[in-house]
Amino acid sequence: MDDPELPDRPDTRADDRSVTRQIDVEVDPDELWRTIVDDEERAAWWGGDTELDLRPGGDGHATDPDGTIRRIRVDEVEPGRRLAYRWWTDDDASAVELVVLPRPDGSRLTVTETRAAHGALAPTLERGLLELELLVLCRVAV
Amino acid sequence: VSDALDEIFAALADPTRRRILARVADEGPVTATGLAADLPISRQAVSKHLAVLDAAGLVDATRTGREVRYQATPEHLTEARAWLADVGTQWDRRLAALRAHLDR
Repeated sequence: MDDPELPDRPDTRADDRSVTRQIDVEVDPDELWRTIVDDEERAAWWGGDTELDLRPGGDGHATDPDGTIRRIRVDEVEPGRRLAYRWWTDDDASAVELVVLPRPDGSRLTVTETRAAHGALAPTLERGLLELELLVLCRVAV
Repeated sequence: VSDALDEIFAALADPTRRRILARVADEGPVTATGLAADLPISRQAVSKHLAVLDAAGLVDATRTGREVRYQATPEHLTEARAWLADVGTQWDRRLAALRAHLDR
């Protein structure tokens, strides 16, 4: 029996600048792809106004239910399989990759959002901001 | 908010600065001279790194007479983590909505 107090497991796949989420669904990859990239289909679940010109360099936008509007620039499209774009607000920018893969009884969508890093920032940063934070917090707490 | 986060990520991109920050957290309040004593870099270099950490809000400088002492301020690291948590929550919500839509 699940303990209602039990916190979700931390997402250990995320490195310090990216977040990954994944769902398995029972529709085939083509339908899942269409549900994501077709403006009308996407508008039905996104929760706000959204439009996308589905080709590299294409523009778009997406509005969250809380009113946040992100502008979109499509970077790469592999029809039926992979969409990579950048999106941004006035004070934040990140890159998003959506990958659709077939499964025996449906398909899987994997989303990775990575915060934009300025310039040549950060290959070394890939290792453990969380670890450093815990280290600093522990030491300060003592 | 974004500029502040960029400064934090930039400040932490350098391994020497991460080491200095850990030392400040461990030993603070501490001076640049104290830190330089057992680091393989000059006091001036340590001071420059501390200035970057200070600008990013990761350490706090207190001046007493001619002496400047540094202490770690971990709140800003927590802010960087909060961005990741927010983005994760947003995708959880979107993907739950997508699933509900497909299940219909």
